[in-house]
Amino acid sequence: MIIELKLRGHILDSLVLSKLLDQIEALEVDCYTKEVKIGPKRQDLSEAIFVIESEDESKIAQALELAQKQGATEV
Amino acid sequence: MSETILMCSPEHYGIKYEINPWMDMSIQANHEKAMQQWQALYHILKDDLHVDVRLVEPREDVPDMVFTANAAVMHGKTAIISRFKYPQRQAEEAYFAEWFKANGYDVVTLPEEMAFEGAGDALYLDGVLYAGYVPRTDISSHTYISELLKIPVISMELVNKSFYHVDTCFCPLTDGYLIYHPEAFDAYANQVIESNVPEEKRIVTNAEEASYFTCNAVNIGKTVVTNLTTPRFTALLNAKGFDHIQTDLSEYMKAGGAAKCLTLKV
Repeated sequence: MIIELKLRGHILDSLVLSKLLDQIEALEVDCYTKEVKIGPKRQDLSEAIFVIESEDESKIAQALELAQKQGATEV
Repeated sequence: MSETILMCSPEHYGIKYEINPWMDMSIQANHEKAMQQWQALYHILKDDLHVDVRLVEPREDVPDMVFTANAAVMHGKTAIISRFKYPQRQAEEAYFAEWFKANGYDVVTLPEEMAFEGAGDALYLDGVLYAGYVPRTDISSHTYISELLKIPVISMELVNKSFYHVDTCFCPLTDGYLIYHPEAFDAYANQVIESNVPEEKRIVTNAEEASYFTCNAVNIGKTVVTNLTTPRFTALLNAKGFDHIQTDLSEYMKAGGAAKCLTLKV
């Protein structure tokens, strides 16, 4: 099973992207960042699209729950 | 120029429900004492610190309306009205919006279902809005507000249920100083704070001080007003050039609030 998620906001300054990737990695699922757009100015938002893959649906569900808590949405 | 602060008289204040770990309906606030404590804070701000204190009419159906910090987050003359997480407080939204409109502010409302609890969960430090999330505020509101106001909003996850709003554990002060309680935040938020606020500007409360809601402070110029706390904390503030005024707010601690919660800079 594969899901693609988008995280948008001050995700780099707030370390939210790092946190979420650390949390997902701890679930031992495959996870990679597909695209990152960095806001050019300090007030601009950044955006990351990343993919999570696992044959274990419960792990995907856990990853999705963690991601939603950090503001990520399914693409 | 004097600061302007919005307060709400505690006529209808009481522990009428339980929506945070501090609230216990079997431990009621003493109404007379609560009124005296609120008046004391009001006079410290108005008479001693020359703050222009405005009052919003208290409403009977919302006992926590006394905690005006949760009304909105301000950006100049714009008030972004809270979307309270718990239904018990949601009626406050319209009452506060009504006050802001009547007093010449632009009022912005967030999308429904986007929890956000105003200056209880979002505080400015050097032009950046530092915002708490999980217990009462959704992180999605940070992104929404950042886009709306075109300002950076730094998200900090709160991990200790006792510190359910960011203003219970984080208080920016004049000249870039900061009072905070590290144990209220996750490791990432602590790293963000340490990266953005130089060590000499950080005033760290210990567990005892945090339990008195010492971080829930009102800062006017170089004066900090808090609930009763420790001599150690006064010494820390004095060493950074701040005066410290303490006032007993024990009746409001019963609802999980102290000095800052009772005020909103508008």
